[in-house]
Amino acid sequence: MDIAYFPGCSMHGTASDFDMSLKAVMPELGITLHEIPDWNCCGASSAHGRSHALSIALPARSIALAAKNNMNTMFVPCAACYNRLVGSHYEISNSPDLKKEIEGLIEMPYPDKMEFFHLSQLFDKFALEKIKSGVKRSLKDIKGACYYGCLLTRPKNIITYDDHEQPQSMERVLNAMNVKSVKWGLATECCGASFSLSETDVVYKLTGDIIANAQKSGADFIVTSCPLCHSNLDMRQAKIMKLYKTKEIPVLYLSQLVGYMLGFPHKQLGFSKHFTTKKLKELFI
Amino acid sequence: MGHHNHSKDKKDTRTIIEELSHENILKCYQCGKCTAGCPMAFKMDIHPHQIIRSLQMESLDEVLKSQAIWYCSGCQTCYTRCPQEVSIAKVMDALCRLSVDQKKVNKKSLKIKKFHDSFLNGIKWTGLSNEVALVADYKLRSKNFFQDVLLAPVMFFKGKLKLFPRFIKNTKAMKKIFNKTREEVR
Repeated sequence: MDIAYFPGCSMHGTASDFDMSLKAVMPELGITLHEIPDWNCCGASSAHGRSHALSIALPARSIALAAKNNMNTMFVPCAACYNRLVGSHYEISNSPDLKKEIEGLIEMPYPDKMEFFHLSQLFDKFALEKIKSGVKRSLKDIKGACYYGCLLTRPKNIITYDDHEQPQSMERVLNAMNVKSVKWGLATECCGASFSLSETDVVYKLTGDIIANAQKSGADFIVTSCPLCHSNLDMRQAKIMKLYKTKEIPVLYLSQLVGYMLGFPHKQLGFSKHFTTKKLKELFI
Repeated sequence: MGHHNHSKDKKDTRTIIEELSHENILKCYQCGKCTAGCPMAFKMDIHPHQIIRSLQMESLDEVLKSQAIWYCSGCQTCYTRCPQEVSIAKVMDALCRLSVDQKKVNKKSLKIKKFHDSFLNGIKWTGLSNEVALVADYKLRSKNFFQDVLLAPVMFFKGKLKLFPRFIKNTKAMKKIFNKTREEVR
């Protein structure tokens, strides 16, 4: 299947491992990604505090560009980008006045129809059979904690795919690969995201709570699909281990886990780019 | 103690907030679910439900000067759980914008505002967020030069820090969008 692709700004930097694993796995699953020509930053967590119109116009420009390219479905791997794009489309679709204003700002017509998919949603809807039949490895009794983060399932009236308090799309993907998952309490709790630079102590606490709860629930690894969550969980884990005495736990992107289970060599999946690598090597390499 | 309107032209707080956020704060009956679920409540000087209450009681000034509004992470947990479907996150956004406009930003929250300024400044010029440029800009604005310095070389060698910034082709379009939305407090 063909789908427009909105990579998000972190794919070339902090989330280059996410990018690598996506590029490895998608062709195997019969999904062709068409990167939106000249897409721009979605505004993330900064635009909506500066100006409402700005926070809608930034995602709107990329959506209009995708439509211009004759695409009306879009894959958005980053949770924050997904949330901004879906939210903007929702607001514009429900307000003709806003639509007019935005079209004036982006100087392009804005499409009526655009459907958005995040990673576990894409796999869940279009690739479960191929994933199931392509599994070449087994993780036996190793269990994963599926961490969605706060933005993939909220607000509940705008993002209607998956339950907003107890989502299961990632668990379904793990199930298709016979990978065990744990029931745990903080699957949709905020990791502190955008405070990573400005209030790092907050991130240590929130992300530390998430790691502790995952481990208490019996998880051997955490699987996620948000670059900022991954960065907080993986890159900042060493400090969290010092502060909160948690044990080391590898953090994988969902596409890395799927790639691993489908038999891809770990070099193609970006494992070497992780910071928390000791346990990762033990379990996955 | 409320602030009384002395002129017919002055809007009440409920109207000001509704115009900025499209949220009706009078719907709130103080159940407290927002605060109970808020991941950042532990850092806030005024809790989310208390902010709504202060606004209902016309204490806008106190709220605009709080640290709390800048600590909102935008996770939408409040809106998702509110029985009256009030988007407290949207109200927080409006309060941040109003606080900047009225020059009432709490001194302790300035670094959070500066982070957002750095981020937005970066995408205004290039259309994309470039991590090295963002960190450099933020360090200059916040004068916090040494944080995360140890992580940087590791990130670079793992290919996670690209030294050269990336640009979209139509950077003119970005500047237009930013300039046209600059004046409004919306």
